[in-house]
Amino acid sequence: MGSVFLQNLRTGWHVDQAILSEDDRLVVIRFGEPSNRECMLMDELLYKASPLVQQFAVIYTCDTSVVKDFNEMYELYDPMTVMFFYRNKHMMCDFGTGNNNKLNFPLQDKQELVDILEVIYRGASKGKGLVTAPKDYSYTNNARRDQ
Amino acid sequence: MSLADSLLDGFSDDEIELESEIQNDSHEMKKFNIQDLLTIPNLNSISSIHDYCPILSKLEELEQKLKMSELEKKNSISNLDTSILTETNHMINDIYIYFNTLTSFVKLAYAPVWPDLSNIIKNPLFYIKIVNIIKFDIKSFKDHIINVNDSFNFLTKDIILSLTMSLNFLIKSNHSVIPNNHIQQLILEACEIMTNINDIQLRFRTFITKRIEAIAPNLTSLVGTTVASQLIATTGLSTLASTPACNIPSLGKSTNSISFGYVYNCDIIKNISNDFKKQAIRQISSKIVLCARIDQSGIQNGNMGLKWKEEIQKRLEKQMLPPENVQIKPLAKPVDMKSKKRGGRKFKKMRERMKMSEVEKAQNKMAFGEEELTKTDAFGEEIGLGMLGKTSIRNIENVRSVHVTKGTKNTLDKFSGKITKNSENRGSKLAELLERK
Repeated sequence: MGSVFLQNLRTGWHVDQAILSEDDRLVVIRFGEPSNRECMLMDELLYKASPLVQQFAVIYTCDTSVVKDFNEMYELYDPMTVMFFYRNKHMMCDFGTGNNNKLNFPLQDKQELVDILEVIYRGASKGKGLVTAPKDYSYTNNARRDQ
Repeated sequence: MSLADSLLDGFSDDEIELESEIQNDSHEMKKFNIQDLLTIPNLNSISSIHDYCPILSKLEELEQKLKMSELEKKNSISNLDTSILTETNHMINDIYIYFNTLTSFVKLAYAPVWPDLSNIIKNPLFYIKIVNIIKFDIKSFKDHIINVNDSFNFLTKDIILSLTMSLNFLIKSNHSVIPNNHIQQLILEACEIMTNINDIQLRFRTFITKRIEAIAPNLTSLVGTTVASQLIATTGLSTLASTPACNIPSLGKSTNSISFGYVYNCDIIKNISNDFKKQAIRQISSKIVLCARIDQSGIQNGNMGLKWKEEIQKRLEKQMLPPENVQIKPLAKPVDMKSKKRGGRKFKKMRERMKMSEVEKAQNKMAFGEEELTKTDAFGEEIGLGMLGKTSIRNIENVRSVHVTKGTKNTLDKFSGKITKNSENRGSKLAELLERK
């Protein structure tokens, strides 16, 4: 239930400002429907990781049913999508799922999330636009779709 | 202790002997009587309930002793007191058995008159009080309530209400059966005996409360006079000392599941919030048993009890402190730092040891327009030799030499006859050895 402490972005303007205002940290935004189970689980995970990564990443939530401005632009059609930004630039990450733009599957482990954030930050601070996740999620993602 | 006292003591001892004889006689009788009292089909065959209770005479004797000790008014325990204590301790169990048997007897016998009464009134004392007041005329219950307000003041209003309702129903359905005069008398007699037993118990309790500090100083300093006396009055010191600590909290609990035992009334537990009561009770119970054991050994000061009380209070205070606010240490920024290994004596040496040898270098070079020599190794692979052997190789000695420590090098030097600072004049080691012989 700790996920209620994650900062929620109420409007598109707030989302823009969140992405723009941060100049040394990764901005992680969870777009999704808060009532969805996957989304709730991911929120808990994000909340647990947030104090650990606070030096290099800041985590926000955004309800796609309230803020619809980005749904088309970012193709936010999944119940839960996590996107990464660094200095007003969209960061891509190769999870092995075929979609490098976003993380749209629930993670199980806090450490995995922290590792992904670290890798993205490292790449971003070196000026890269695309990094490779420390673990390949193609298998887990397929397994999820089969269910 | 005066002469009269000792005389009296002797006298009472004789009586006890007599008593025990009587008890032995009646013991066999009592055994089947207790069973019979509850199972006997025809109550008319019983003449009096007093015959079934040999304990009564003993109790009377105890009462007299109590009176005598009250007259003495001393602060320390006299022999009389100790004798009273030991006797009552032995009798506590018997008293319980008698009281309970009589309760069930009265309930059984009175059930035809008012079947619901035992369900509504759980406390046996209240039960016999009601029976004593209304006797066998159940319709008089209402008159008692209307006319004499004080007669049922020991009952709460809701219980009186449920009693009235059950009574109305009973009168309407005409289920009440009033027994004959003889049984009526028996029931009333049983009620009277029970009140007697209860009175003596109460008196014994007040006696213990007065003398408790002398009887159990440690227990008193741990839980206070009231609780200590209650505990000792229910179990007796020796039984309390052998009771497992987990059973202490339930001492003094009535059948009513909401009620609490005696221990819940002691200072430490009263002043603590409900969240910590369970822990506090566990701690105190274990110490109660220990204190009882110390007190039983006859120690006259309550130091241990005081010490344990302070200990428990300190421990509880610590437990009640709010949890420390532990901050989660954030991870460091994952910035890639260049390797700090750049130079230095050790690192240079290591690099020297690991660097490509001259032979390998030569092997990697090729002369232009010339066929290189090859050799076949153990696995049948053809290995080119490149410029190996065609150019002079300098510094072959230092490359890939065996890594030797300083100490080993020195000893090796000694054996190989090299002149070191210390052995300038000695010549070779071998020569030295030969000289010795």
